[in-house]
Amino acid sequence: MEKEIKGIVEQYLTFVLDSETYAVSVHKVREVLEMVPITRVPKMPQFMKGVLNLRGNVVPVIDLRLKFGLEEAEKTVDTSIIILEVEIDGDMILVGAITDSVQEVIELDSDTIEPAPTIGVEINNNFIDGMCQYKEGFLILLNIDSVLSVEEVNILSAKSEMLSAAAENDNKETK
Amino acid sequence: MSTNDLIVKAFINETSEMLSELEGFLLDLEDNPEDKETLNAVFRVMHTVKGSSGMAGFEVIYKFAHQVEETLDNVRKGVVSFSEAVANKTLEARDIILELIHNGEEVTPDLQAKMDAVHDFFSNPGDSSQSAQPAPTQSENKSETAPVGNKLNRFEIDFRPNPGIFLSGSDPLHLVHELELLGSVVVKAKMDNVPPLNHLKAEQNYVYWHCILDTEKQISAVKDVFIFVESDSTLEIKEVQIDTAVQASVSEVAVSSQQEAKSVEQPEVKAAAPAEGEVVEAKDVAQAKEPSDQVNSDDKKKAANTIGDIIRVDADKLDKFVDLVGELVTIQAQLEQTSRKVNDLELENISENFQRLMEELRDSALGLRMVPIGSTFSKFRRIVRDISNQLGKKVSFETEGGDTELDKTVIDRLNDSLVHIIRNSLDHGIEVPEQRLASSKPEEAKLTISARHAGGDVVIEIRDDGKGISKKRVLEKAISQGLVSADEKLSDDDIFKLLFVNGLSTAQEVSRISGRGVGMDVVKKQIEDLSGTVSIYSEEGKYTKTILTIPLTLAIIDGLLVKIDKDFYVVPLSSVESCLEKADALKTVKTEDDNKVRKLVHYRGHFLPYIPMRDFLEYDTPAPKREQIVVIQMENNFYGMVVDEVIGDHQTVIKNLGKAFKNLKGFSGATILGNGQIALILNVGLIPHLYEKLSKKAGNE
Amino acid sequence: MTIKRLNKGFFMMTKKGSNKNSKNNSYVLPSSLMIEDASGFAEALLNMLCDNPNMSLDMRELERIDTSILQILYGLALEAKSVNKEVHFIGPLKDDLKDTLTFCSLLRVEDGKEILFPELASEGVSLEYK
Repeated sequence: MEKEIKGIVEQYLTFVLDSETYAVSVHKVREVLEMVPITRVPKMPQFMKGVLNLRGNVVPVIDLRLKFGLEEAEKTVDTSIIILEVEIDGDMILVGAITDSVQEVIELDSDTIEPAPTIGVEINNNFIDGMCQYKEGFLILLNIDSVLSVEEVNILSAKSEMLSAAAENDNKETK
Repeated sequence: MSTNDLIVKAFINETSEMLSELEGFLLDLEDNPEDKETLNAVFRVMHTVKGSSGMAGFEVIYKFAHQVEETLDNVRKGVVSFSEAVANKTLEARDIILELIHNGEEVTPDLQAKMDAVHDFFSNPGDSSQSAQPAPTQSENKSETAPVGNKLNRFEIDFRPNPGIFLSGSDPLHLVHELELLGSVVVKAKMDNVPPLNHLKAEQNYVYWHCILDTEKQISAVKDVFIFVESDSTLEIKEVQIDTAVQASVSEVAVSSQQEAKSVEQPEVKAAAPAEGEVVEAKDVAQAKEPSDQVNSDDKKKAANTIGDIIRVDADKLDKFVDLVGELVTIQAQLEQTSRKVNDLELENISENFQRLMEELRDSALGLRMVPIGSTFSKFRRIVRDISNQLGKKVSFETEGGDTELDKTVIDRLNDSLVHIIRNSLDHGIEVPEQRLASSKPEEAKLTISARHAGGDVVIEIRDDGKGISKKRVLEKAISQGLVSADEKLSDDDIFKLLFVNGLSTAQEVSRISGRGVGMDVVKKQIEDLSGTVSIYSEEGKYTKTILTIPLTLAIIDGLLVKIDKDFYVVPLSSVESCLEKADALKTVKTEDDNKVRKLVHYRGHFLPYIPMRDFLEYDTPAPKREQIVVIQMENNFYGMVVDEVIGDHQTVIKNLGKAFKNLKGFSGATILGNGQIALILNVGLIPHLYEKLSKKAGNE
Repeated sequence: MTIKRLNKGFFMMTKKGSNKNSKNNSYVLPSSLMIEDASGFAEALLNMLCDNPNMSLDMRELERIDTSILQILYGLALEAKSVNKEVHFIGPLKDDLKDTLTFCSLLRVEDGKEILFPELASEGVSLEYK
């Protein structure tokens, strides 16, 4: 290795969704599970698959494919759930994320990370911390906190609240 | 943890508790300033706070409490009369002490200013009735023939400490010595209960005393000597009349005995109290207590105060314990399921026994967390008092059902909501006295908070007899905010429900106390977080009442497990009235009011509305041929819930769904079944409401 | 003078009678006796009473007397009387306790002789000031 390391080296967990490889900081990862039964929670957005039983804890699960606007995939032996520690409203909560497959843990020098391009990526730019070269292609570094931010997690069908809908109208009027 | 830490911790706990008691006493006293018992209780608390703060090394509090105590003592003696000012300042002092305790005696400039203000007041309580001499109280002027200026009172004191008194760290002998400071005293130690040495237990007390005290002080001063051992002893203090001649002789005897111990003859002393028959005041200060007390040292006073022995347990430890019991319940469910599968009679027996024990364990574990809601109620008295004074309103505050027990966590989480509702009542509901008189109501308004059990719920009601809520105004406001369209017809219920909408406050002016338009929606949220419901009823000009219905506990409930599609749901068993076959129960009925043909559940002669849960929960798979109906009872309303299948009872350990689902309505949590699968718990109180909106919306589209 | 360690951490100083033939063993009570010492104290006294037909307890070092000590002393006197032994108390105590009413109420003078615990008055129980 001749390349000099200038930045800070951090570890990332890589996983695949469709044809892209993504990475999240290992600090955000609690553990990785194989596919387990998930209990549906009604009245939630489609990407919110439900809840799973993590040794007695009820943990919400999202399907990242659906979250990123991809087609839902058949579950295979490779399908994995990454249990992530996400900050919501200042509190740490556990969230499971369904991925096609989990690859490996790699080290990345922060200097090699480039800002996310504004075009050419299918997913919402806010979700991306940056990109970097990886094997023959490139990696997308996810900002998992914003993927699962309050607004994102709590997009609920308005069906449940006539009054909250009314309140929303209110807001629009004030804008 | 070092011993010192323990002492400090115990001090903080105990003192905080005593201070909240103090608040109650002071408020009682305001209502009833002549109540000597309560006044004594107030004094006692301050005295104890002073003593224990000194012991725990809280110097600032010690000095501060000392001064307050002195003034209170003067009040007790009648030197200073109990005025509102005294009450106010004592309450302030109480708050200051509480703050000092919790911030580790860090005296901020702000706090210092407060302390100075209280200090100034207490160094000169400035009372008009103040006189140089202790005001003579009661009927003490009988022996006006007494030759000297200050008349002497004679008390016969029979002091019998309980055997266990040493364990509380008191030496009765000290108290006897203290009597000497009050005047001349003749003491006889009674040794007749002392057993031979080989039977003598050194840690037990066998001695008792008979004393004759001649003093200028009143009986209260004598009682004070024994104030800390009241509960640990039998004490009898009699005031006896003395004629001057005998008085002189007794004094002589007493004096001589003090100077020259050799010549004292005990029997004579006793004989020298001639007027035994003429007891002016005889009072048992303390009742005899069973001598078998094994309670350890300091806890004794505490235990005596609260009747029965009480062990203090850290709330965290308790929560951990209840959590573990919850886990056990889950495991037990697994065992039961497995044993059924294995079909082994022996295993099934074990499982059944386990289940029975588990239920008992669960109940007692949850019982541990149950506390009467009364302590919370009594906190409100202060709030009511302070706010009504501030607003110049006259309010009598009443509480009912303070002994109703509720999970401690629930009570803690209820507090803010209740405070908010009470503030609302005081601020907006209750009128100023002039206005009340003008509308021919009694000048003093009534604010009542009550609690009672109803099935698995506790119902808390806050009611005032103020001006009520103007439905018209609520409606106007709602229309102006676009919440309701002008032509919409709303029932009274619906109108009152609007009060819970964010941004809708009918108060014409925003006040400091409430009425910023945030509030009732927050209350609603808090109550719903507790799986409870809140509703308001009012009649304009007459009353407003707010009713909260809260489940007893947040941890474990008895549930009814039902199945829809492949998923399981839990219905709290306390709301389940019965289960029916859908085909049998569903009847087509032509309703009278709008002449529409509807399908209703026929149940015991009544027709009930029903909710197809498949619709509500958004399942698009076809329903099975045979469906079942669970009849739900909420307060006085019934409805049917159509499910695929009723599975049966289930001990449900409630797990919070967490922040990710914080906007999800209709579920009060989740639970883990025996097979590891998760079932959601239905919030049956909210579902009809949500379903109604859902169908309205569907209708609109 | 020897210092004897008794049960439960209680110490007592023993002063042998100046005359070897003296049957009288004198014990000096330590200046402070606390309730924690009391059961050890009682036991020790009982043992001493068994060993000695006559014993004297020197209480002059004792700074304060509390109820538990008081009743132990009484118990000792009671015991001594019942087994026909003699207990002689030397005291009483330090000056500030001398006129303690409680204590004095336990004294009586008969024939010019002070007696501790008048109810037990007999030749077996006596008190002297030194």
